[in-house]
Amino acid sequence: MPTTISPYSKPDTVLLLDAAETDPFIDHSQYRPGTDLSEQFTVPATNWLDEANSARTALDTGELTLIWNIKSGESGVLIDHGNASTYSWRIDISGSSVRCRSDGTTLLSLALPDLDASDRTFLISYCTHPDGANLRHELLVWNLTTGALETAAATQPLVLAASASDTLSVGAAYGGALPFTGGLDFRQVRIGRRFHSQAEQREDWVAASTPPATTQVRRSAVLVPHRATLDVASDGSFVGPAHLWAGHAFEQSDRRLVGPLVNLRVPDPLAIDHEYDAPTSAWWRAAPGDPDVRMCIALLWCRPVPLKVNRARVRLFVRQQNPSNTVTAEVRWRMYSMAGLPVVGEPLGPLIYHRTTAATCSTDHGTGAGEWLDLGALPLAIDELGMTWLAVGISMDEGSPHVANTIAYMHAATVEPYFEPADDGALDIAEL
Amino acid sequence: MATTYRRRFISEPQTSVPLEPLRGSRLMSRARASAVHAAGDRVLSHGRRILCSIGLHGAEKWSVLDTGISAWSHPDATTPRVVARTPPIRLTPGHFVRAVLVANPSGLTTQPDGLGGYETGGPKGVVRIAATYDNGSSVTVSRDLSIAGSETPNAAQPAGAGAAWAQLHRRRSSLLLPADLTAPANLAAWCDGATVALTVSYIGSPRAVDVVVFEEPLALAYDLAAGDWTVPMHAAANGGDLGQLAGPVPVTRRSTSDPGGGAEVVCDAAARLCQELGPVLLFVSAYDESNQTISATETDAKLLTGTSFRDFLTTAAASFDATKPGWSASSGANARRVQDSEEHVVLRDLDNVVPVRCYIYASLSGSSTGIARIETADHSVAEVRVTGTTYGWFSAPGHLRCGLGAQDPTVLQVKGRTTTAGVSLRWRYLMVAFEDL
Repeated sequence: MPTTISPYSKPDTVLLLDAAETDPFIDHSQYRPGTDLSEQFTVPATNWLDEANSARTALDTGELTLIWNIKSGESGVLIDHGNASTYSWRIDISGSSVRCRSDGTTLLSLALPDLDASDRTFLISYCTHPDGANLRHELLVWNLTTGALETAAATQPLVLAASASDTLSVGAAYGGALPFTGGLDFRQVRIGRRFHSQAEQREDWVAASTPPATTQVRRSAVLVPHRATLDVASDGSFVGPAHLWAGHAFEQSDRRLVGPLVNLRVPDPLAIDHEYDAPTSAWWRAAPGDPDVRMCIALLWCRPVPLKVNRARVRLFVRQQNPSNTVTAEVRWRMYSMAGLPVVGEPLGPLIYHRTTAATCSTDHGTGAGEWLDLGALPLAIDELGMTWLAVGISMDEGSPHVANTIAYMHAATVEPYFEPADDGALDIAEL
Repeated sequence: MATTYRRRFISEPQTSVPLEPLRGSRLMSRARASAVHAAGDRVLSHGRRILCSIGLHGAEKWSVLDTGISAWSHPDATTPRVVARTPPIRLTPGHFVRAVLVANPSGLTTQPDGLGGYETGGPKGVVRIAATYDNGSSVTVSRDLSIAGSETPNAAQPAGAGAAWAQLHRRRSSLLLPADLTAPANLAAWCDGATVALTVSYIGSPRAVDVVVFEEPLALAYDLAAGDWTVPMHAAANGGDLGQLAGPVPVTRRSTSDPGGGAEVVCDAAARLCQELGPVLLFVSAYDESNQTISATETDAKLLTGTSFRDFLTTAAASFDATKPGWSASSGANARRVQDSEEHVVLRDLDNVVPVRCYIYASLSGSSTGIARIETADHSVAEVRVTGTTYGWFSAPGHLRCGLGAQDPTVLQVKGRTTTAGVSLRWRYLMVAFEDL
């Protein structure tokens, strides 16, 4: 019979309680299966869970995530790692806020968004990682019932190191003190040894992303080889795995420095009309290969191209309007990549150019809106200096009765390079 | 005993060892181990990180006038006006800084005429790039990129259809080096672990279409005794290719006095390369060619006033909305790390997260706390706190979602506020760069 592993349990998870699945004290983590928390009761009617000498949760950095039903008026400690006099970390509800605390110091707090008189389900994620000599603390509180969320972050020194001999308590502080008045009304509790990003919490607990299909070469997040793990220095050890693992890691690292060629927002964009003479006709010329498409020096960049890329994905944020009407002519936008653009004092060579397909827009956006246009893939033409000229190409539908009154603006441009394998599927390094 | 070094030139991808043996179903041999070492050395040769850029960039007019001198109507010929700054950021090992300027002919400058009035100082335009390197001691080097003055009346911009394109000039600086790096000891002192802070200034009346300052690979050198190499350094002492590893079989290291050539160094190098390399996602200057005042010696700040979040660029009220203008963070996927974005159990290859440090050069107009929020989704937020009324760099780490790569578009937006009504967050420069958190 196959072993069922909770999708919420990850390799760093040291404790996973899932009250939506089974009894709340059962540990579903892969850390120490079968090591459940203890149920504790006092009279009147306070119950909590705990684990004495909880070395596995004695963490100074990592993840604390709670999915808990909370309504207004409820307060108390949700989770705590401490003893009769101190605690290294605690999450509690005070008033209408959630607080992350350490030994009496509030490190972060946030108001519970859309807290209501009836139960709301909250994702409360408190994660930390080292930041120099200090710790970076991040708190995400997400009302899963309404979708409202808040975040907070701070860099602070470690207040009190966690002790392996301290007690983990869920639903109260040590010994049942300060119990959460809403009881053990949680869905899940997860404690992990690794910092979890806000995006990871969203993927795990809220909704999984649906990414687009991609054809670019993508690299893996490589498990890092370590000489101690591979035991390479010991007599009789294999050195082959170290080389193969490292070789794989090198291959997967070969594009880590690739960043955007253009990543721009324009605070006060040029107004473009079909005369192409603003602010002066000197700024405009016909695009190579298509005299109906115009290029402007205000939308021209000369950028170094990292090795190992051959294309770029281009997006523009555009706005267009007809001040005297609500209908505009169709505006067609392209991006060009050129090598050999004539420059004063440089030898004149052949002009090599590529362009994206045209993205068209006919929407009158008025004054406060606009839209992203995806221009798709731009093959890169690279000159002998390793640079490419990038220019936006614009044309307007001269047959439209509205063309004379159509004004277009480009508010943002992003040109993100990548590598597209050849059609034969051959891999990259040899080709470059 | 004299210190000995190994040096590796990385300005061109190079290896005399074919990569074919890396593929599967082959027996390990000296040639194949050599191929692994050579492949590691080539990883750094692809870097061309853009550290900052400035220029016309979509603006609707030049700040330099086409008219003659009227009072102090044009910039003076000598005072640098800062248009871009970066914080000290860690250089990619073996890389140094180069700048490229594209410009139209320069405009007129103004100078006092000695009679209480002003006269033309003639046409002049210079873009100055200053790089302050720091490896424990600080060195500033600079390059002036000059563009000839316009020959039209009043040194006006080129006139006539397409004339600005016909009068494009390009200047490429030499590499800005912190020292003479010919000697391996000097190269070893600067090639790994140094930071660089950049300042770009305009002097006179340049008409800069595009200025880009970027890293370029040059060379690495390491003390043989020091270890902690970024790459395996499969190279001879003079920087040339080593060819095949010495000895008939793979070893853990070459010798007790040379950590190279074995299994240990490839493990260490792979660990560093997989964790420490990443792109610069974003640089923004508040400089606006259309509206910048010529008398200011530093970029006019954008002001975000009040306790409600406002868009960094337009200063209008703002909340994250991917359908609104923004920047891209998609390149972050090129540098995904196993602890943030592993594709099977962490983010399941549905998304990626890039660890970054966000920098803002800012101050406050009064007593308060400023908050700059960098977002790539409602649930992907980094936040920088600003204090004090003196301009300076403030920074904070963050983990921003960045999608699967260039073909998975993302929108990065930045907004800011203060905690006190009537107090402004004043910012001039912004940078978001990968950091090994």
